[in-house]
Amino acid sequence: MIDFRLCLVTDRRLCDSLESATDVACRSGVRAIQLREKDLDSRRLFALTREIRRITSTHGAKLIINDRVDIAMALRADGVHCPQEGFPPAVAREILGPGALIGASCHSLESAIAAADANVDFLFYGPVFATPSKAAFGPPVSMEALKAVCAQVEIPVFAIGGVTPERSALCVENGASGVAVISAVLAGDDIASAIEAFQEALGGL
Amino acid sequence: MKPSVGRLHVITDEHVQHRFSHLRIAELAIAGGADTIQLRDKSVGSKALIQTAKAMCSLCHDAGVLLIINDRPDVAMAVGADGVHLGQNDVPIPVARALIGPSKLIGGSASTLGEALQVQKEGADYVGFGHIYATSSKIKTGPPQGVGPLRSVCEALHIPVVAIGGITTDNMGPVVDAGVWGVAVVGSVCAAQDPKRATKQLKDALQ
Repeated sequence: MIDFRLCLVTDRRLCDSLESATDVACRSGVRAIQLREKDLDSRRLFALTREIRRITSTHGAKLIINDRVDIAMALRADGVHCPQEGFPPAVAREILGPGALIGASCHSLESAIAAADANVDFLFYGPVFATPSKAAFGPPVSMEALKAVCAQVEIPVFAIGGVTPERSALCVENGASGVAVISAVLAGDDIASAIEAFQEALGGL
Repeated sequence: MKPSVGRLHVITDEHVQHRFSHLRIAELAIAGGADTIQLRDKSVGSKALIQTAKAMCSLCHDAGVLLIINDRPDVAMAVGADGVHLGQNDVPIPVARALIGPSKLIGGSASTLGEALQVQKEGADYVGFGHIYATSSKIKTGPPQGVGPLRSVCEALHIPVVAIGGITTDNMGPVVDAGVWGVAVVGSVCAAQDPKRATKQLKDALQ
């Protein structure tokens, strides 16, 4: 079910047009997009999600919606991602059923184990490196901590937080199935090259 | 079977006041005779919102009162609430209907006759029209409407019209005379010295 190693998490404020950035990313081989635009009201988020769904469907990429089970359901996204203080994964599963992809963010070994027990399909664990977007979640966790989480849970773990192509290889060595990135792809002026660098480091997308 | 739209909606708010929680306001409003509670909080995470909504749902259903969730069909589905209330910036009414089904209530906000007709056309069970009077809560969209446009909306629509915005016991007369089905309040109850008593007075004024 998890057929991706890189999940691109969106932040439309980093790019001129999220639609064209998503299109370039999918053309460059990205197989999973998580739409995360928390500051948008529901009407605008719905409209943007519809556009992004069209693009991901065209390219056969998965679309996962951050926190909003209703919007994921209405637009037939592949699943939802549950932040630690967001929609509880077990409740999302009840609503969306067994076919949906459900991911959860966790920032400690305890919360990783709890999330895995809640029948989620994959975890985001971090921040593994210092990054402004994840500063609210405390100082970076260590590679040892990442390794411990990956060893303890049976579901795929994606490292998040300040991950670059070079660092992504280190995350995989420590047991991560892949990485989740925002600014490493979206903040630069060449999305295609950034993705290519991740592809080489990860040995696939 | 779909429940009937309530006539006295109390929208819980932890921002116009800090003395009472959502749950406590709901409790006091129910004790005062409210028949519908609407949970609205755009500032908390989904986890906390669902937790509050769940507790509120048991409270309301034990008392035979309807629970409506503002903006979030997914939260309404998660806790088994009676419906959702959608503003002009929330998910489109037909989208919410497809999600929560025909047996749940959907209310839609409108501040013009055109919007009210559109809300009705899209399949809402009631329209929340306002704001009628000046208000400090977050529901406002432009200047107060007054009761003139409210009367036109009540005459033009066949679904129930629930007036909202600055409605108090003292100024409710013209609102009722305009032909509304019911009223929705935030501050008149949440910011009242005694929310239970305030709700009871509003209920008496409505009848």
